[in-house]
Amino acid sequence: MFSVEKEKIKPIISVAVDESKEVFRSTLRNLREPFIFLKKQDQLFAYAALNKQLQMKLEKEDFSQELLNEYTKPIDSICCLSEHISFTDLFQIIGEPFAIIRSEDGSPQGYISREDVLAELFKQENKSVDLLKILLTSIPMGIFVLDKERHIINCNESGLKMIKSTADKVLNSPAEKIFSGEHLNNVFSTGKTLLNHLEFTNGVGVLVDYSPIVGYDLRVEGAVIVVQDLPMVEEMAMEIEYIKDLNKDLNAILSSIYDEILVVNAKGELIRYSENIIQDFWQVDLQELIGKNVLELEDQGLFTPSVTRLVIEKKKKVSVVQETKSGRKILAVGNPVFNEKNELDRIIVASRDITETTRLKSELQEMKKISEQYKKELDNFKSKDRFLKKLIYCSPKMEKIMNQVQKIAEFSSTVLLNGESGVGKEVIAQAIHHLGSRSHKPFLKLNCGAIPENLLESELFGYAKGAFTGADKNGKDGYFKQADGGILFLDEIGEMPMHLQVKLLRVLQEQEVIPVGSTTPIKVNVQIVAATNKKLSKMVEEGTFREDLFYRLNVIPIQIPPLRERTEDISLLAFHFLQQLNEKYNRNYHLTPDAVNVLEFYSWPGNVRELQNIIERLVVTADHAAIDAEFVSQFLSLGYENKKMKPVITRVIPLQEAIDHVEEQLIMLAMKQYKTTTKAAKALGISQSSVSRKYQKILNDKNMTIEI
Amino acid sequence: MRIEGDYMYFGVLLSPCFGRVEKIPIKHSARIYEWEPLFTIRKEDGMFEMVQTSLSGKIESIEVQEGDYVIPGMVLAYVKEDLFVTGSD
Repeated sequence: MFSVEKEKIKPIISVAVDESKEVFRSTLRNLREPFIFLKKQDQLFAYAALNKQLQMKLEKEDFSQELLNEYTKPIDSICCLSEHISFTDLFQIIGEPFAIIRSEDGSPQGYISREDVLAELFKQENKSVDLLKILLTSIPMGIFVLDKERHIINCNESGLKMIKSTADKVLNSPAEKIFSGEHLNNVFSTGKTLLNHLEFTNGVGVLVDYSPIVGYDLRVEGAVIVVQDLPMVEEMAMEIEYIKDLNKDLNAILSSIYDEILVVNAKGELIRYSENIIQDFWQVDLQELIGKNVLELEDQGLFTPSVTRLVIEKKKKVSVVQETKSGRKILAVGNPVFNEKNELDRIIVASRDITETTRLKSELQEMKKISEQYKKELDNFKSKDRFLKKLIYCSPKMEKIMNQVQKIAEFSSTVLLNGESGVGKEVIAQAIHHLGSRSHKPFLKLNCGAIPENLLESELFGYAKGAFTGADKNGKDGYFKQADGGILFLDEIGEMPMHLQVKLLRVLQEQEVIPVGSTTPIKVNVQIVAATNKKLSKMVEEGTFREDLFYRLNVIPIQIPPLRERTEDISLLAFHFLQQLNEKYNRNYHLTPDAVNVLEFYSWPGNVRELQNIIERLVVTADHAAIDAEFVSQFLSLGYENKKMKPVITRVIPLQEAIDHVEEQLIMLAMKQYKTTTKAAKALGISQSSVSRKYQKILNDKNMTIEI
Repeated sequence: MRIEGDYMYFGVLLSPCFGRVEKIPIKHSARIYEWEPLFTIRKEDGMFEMVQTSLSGKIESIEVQEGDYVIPGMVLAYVKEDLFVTGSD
């Protein structure tokens, strides 16, 4: 703020428009001021600058008012100032040649010329009065002033702040360093103003306007660059950078993925795809398809069905296996992507060539099956082998029997096993089962002597619904039905009651069973293996066993010799049982050779079963690992003496039979022990001749030739 | 957005025909055996097609619902196969 010196204020010489010519002429003629003001209704409304040329013209035209009117300018553009001038007033003065000074009551006091105001301004001893500086700093935008050489010659603080630089760095440096050289060229060559250019300088996003400074000769003499700092712009810029990064990553991921990935929009137009393309799936270059509709390809018959179409129709994930013309299998999975409005936005189609996988899988499956089959066969062999191993023998008698068994196993003929108790009848029956074609079918064992007589029938043949009180509601399948296709092992067949023998006969003859309480026969296919320790032929004679059933059963009779008749097997079996026990209890017992001799000498009335039990007894009671003859004979001689003292008969049998039996045993035992009839006769206390006769008879009965 | 796991290592159960899924008696993560009836598809001619497979294993995911229209080759389910042969056939 400063005040104007009174002498600088010049008086306003005015003339009213409706004044007479005389007054007008005298006013102009006497005018010493460069401006004449015109009044209308006592108000100043216009002025004219009276320079020498105008004055001359006016004199020539005799100060005509009409001529003056041509040179007048309206007074509205002239500013009015008070005696005290502020900085902002200065800006009003600059455009016009003078300013009117009003007095405090508002009436025009005089005028002051521009030169005087500016001179007054510069006279002020105030440092901050740098007009341009004030101008620049008061603008909230960055402003850079460029000279003809495009060097920055001036700038404001906000501009420096926006580009994050300092005045020393910016001033007198080429503007291209900071701003776009291309735009600058444009501005300087065309003289046009360029607005709103987003630019990034020093990592800051700004909005830049380029404006030329045009000189009097219409040539561009410099430029003003206006920079706007928009926080939004900066954010956007950062986001754009981030998206650029994402895009780069996305492309890298797409190119390194094994699958073929297609991105299709909701209309079916291909937007992008991964680098890995399945060969010969698309017969066209995918690059050509960008922006085109994939659905059209389907219409062209390029490939059907299109996963894209299915996804568009179903609006959910769809997987389809497609086959190419060259027979490759492609698994294509289409995934829909929805926008916030839950509308279909994109479809991601991932395709993979599964030809190899499928082939390998089916091959693997095949190999698995084959190896499984091998395993089964191997198991089969193993079990057969294991089973055969369980059959321990080396005697020619057993060898013969086993050969027979192997032959029988191939057929389904009824087998009748005959042998003493404990001789291994069941083992032989199992062998027939295992070695034969029925090995995968059931093997059922029924002890005819163990089941109550009245239950046996329902056990064997089953019963129908509600056959009797306490019966199962739904009826029950009998043994025959259960063993269908397999083997039914009838142990102790000799104990079977007569009336059941008839029924059994019917089954064997007709191959069908009639359950208890039913009348409808059921077809069965069962191989019968019967076993007995009795002489069935004798029972037939006595009338306790049906003759017809006997012949029916006696298709393949197998006589299993008692252990004492095959002494070769004794040692073998003894070692086998001993080894089993050793393994079971982790011991190391063994038989001395003389102990084996004792075992072989024993008559084994209980046959293999007895041998097995004796061995177990030996192992349990033995003090030393070596089991010797003395130790063995303790157990055996005990039984021996018992027998010597009194042959034990456990059930009622005809006396003659018992006598025959004892006699036979005695003769055989004596002959075995003493080898000659003389010595045997001496031990038995009878004559040599009767020993010889009786022995001969026994051998004949047993159909054996004399071995001694 | 959810993209399924690595389906490559699963067996696929495909539709053999055009039609509508009539019945799905199996459930997710159920165990299936060879030749077990899995899907019933009602073909366009009204006949029913039973979908079976030689695969055995666990159902990883069922890709269709009852009433869905299917086409040949469409994946009905992904099966995580057993590494051994169950041998129930």
